[in-house]
Amino acid sequence: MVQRAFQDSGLISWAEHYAALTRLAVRQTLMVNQLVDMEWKFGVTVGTSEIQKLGTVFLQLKLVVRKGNSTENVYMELTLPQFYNFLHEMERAKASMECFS
Amino acid sequence: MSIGAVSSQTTNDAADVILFALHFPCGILLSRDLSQSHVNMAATVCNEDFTNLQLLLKASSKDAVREVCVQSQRGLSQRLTESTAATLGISEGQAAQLVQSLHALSHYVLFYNLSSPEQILAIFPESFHSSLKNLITKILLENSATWRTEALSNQISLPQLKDLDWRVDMVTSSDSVSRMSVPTCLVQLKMVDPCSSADSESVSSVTVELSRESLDTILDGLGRIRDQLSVVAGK
Repeated sequence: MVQRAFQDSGLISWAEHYAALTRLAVRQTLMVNQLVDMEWKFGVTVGTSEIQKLGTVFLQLKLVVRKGNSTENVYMELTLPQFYNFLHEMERAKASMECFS
Repeated sequence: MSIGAVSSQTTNDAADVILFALHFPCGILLSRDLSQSHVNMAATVCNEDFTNLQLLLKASSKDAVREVCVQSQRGLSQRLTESTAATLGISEGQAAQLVQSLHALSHYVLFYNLSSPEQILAIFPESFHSSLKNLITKILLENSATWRTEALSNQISLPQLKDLDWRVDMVTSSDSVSRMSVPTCLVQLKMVDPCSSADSESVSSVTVELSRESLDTILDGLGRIRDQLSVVAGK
């Protein structure tokens, strides 16, 4: 709608760049504790000092969060049920986001 | 120690205690703090332990024996030594040694996952009192499953994800764009550090903001993890 208005009035180059400029402006929007990166690894716990033979799966996540000008690393471990719950909740969040567009 | 396929990144005091999990002659207490719930002792049971175990013959009932066995699994404490000495009518020094020996035995059974009566009976020396031997074996078998679950939940690890909350907001305006409608997602992750002392389980929490693209990337990553997990599970 805005682009048409610009085109009609002859400001063609402005119309071409309007969408890109808006996207850039939106990207400038403040984000608090923005998630910058997520690293993960998973493996099998083979044994511990209490139990010689084990075969449990563990998953470790490292979240890189931007705090002001620096980043902070958050490390955590998840068991399988916790991982599936995490995945499920993120899918629900994504579905919620899709509702709004 | 956790001999996982990949290394963990824990940086707290639990690492110091792990260094003591080597072979030591029995009778030496390896905890830094006697009231600590986990005492890392070597997985060996020696003759002195069996001598100490015979003190259980002074117990008045099978339940008294059961009680001492179950309490010793958690490790030595002043309270336990005193109550054991009182129940069995022995000195505190003897009670302390008995608790240590019981702990060594239950730790051994748990470590090697001895699940049949024959396996446990085989540890005892020939000369050991036979009905006491059978009673102790029965008690150990009864409690093995519970102790194993406890050991699994108490093992060292990075802070564990305990709770996850999220909300999706619609950003309608900002200092750079006066009218917009851009969804954003806030996720709060609550983590509990299992390695901190039992009385003060430290709960830390972090809230992150995700753009739609970030959330998509995360889901992409999580999907890949899920696929790889099903490959591992299938093997």
